[in-house]
Amino acid sequence: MKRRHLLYCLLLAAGSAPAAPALTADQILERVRDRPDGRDIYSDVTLVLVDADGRRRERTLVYLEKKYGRDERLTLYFTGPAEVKGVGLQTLSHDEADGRPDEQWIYLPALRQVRRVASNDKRGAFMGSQFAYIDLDRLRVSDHRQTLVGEEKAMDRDCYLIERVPLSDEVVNRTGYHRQRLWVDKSSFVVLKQTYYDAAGVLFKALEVRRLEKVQDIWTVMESVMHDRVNNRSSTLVFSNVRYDLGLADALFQQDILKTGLTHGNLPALR
Amino acid sequence: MRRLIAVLAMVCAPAGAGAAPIDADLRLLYGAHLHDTAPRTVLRGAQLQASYVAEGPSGSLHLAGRLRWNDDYRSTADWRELYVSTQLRGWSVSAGLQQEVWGRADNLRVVDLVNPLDLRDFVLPDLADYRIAVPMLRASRPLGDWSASVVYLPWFVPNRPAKAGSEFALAGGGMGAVVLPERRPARRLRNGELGLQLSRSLEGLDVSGFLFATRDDDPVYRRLGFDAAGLPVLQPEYRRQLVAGLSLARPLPGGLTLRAEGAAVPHAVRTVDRPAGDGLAASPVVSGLLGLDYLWRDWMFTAQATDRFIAGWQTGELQRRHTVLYTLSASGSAMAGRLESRVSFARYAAHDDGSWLQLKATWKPGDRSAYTLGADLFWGAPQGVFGQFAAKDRITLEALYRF
Repeated sequence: MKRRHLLYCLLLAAGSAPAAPALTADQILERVRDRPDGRDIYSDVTLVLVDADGRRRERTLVYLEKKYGRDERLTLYFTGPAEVKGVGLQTLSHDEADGRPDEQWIYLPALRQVRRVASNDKRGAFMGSQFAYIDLDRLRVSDHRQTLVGEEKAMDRDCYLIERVPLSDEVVNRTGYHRQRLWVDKSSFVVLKQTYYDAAGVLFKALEVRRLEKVQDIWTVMESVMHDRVNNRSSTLVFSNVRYDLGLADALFQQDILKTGLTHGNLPALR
Repeated sequence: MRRLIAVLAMVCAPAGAGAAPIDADLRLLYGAHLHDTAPRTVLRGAQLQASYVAEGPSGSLHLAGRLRWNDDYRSTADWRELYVSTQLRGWSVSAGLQQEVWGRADNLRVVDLVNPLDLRDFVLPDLADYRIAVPMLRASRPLGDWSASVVYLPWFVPNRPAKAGSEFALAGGGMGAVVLPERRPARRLRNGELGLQLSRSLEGLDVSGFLFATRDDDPVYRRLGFDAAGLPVLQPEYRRQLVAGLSLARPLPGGLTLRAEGAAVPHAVRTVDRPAGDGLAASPVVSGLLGLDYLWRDWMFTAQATDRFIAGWQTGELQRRHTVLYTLSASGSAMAGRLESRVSFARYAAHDDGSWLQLKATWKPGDRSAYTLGADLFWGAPQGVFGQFAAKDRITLEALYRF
């Protein structure tokens, strides 16, 4: 099963498999990517935006993900506040081995129209937050060179510390990151901390997991915060009501659901 | 229809059902001409909009209404939507006043043909703001890898032109004719409009095809004869037409997304200026659009070209054989979404029809308020589509408060 980097990775799996003694960096990240996390996932999400002066804004959304073979479909549907209510995003992530780029669609209620958007540039801010769209993306291993640089603790848990560098300018242009460091929990293979560096080697953004819980025996990141060190803004993703293997209907991952909106009718017994 | 909606609402939204809070916003609007065109203040108005969704065990009720006040129209009210929806044997079914958008164009209508338009502000607002919600039964469901959508509009509602004497009343200069009251189709089931659209995504290609048995939202003027003074007597009519169309979207290398749309009306009836006959002509009309989007960080750049082609064009036609329009736009956000900007430019290939530049910048200090500064600039000949408003370049201010 595949893993997405942040939103996806926030809903992490787990496992009790003990770490192999001599894993390479690539093998560790493949374990992060391939952790089993159910056939589908439902969660309510709160996105909290805090600016440099401490002013706080919140967005609430519904997170739906489902596996289709080795591909994954994701639907994000914003439920509040009024400014963003009804905004929807859908992503189809292909298996990394296929080499095909993700496919993305966005629905803006003001336009009442589903538009396909290119996936070559994911540096844009996710709904004005410090999370970029690339941070919501499925983790890809083969487009970076990974190095295991040591072991450190994060959240008081033993972690592998991995550094990854993009293999091409295309990856830099898509992600905006010239170097990343990841703290991967040795026991759960959850990314608990991540730092991002620009072309000058300056650390400009950092992700930290704040809360990690087991849901249906799957390690799940329930809260994480992204801090932008340049503008001193931060954004927090808080997951609640997380459920796996609900048998989510295919209709929830088709474009029409973005136009009709999520209601009790198409999310029976979930909310 | 209203009684039906009320009954369904009671079924769908019993007391205690999941009622969301009412979302409402108040906008204060001001606009001024940039030239010395009188009056200098061109827009003073306000708009109150509210929406509400109530969810019950078997369906949901969607309400959105709008009240508007301004100098030209005084007060008007309209529903932006008023419908109930439910799930029925795998179909998502909704009935009531709705807006249905087909196609993928950026603020242009090639296949977005279901709802008529309120043209009081010409084409200057966002399309969603001047689409008229009409009575509609809509049903959609997945069919394997396809998605099917059926719409039935029982009552024909035409485009609503700007009223005479208002800021955006179209230049006509008088028709030199006696125009009888328009004749609208009777409200019978068989006079309804019926559309079917099938869509799917296949190997990176989004494709939709549709058939729509509809009526032209603009009237044609059938000449009945001449009055005693020799003026032609014209009968405005809304003619039936069958439209077949296709829309596509596909990502290209280099971060581009290609969009294409096409619609064909095999028997399009048009008003012509010819001394003989009833003043009408009919032949196929084909419209097409080609668009390219480019995404860069938080900005979307779009270029589009459209052409409306009249096959069998004849002398005396009131429209050109080809009506070609180009558009460019860029929209994006900055400062954690607090600043949103859009610039768009539209130009007809025919020089006389002119061009239009629109600028908009919106500052959102918080979730509850937004302030928009805008400008609309026109060029072209006095009888041109955009040129007729060349003396009406304007700047606009809008303050919005949500509560």
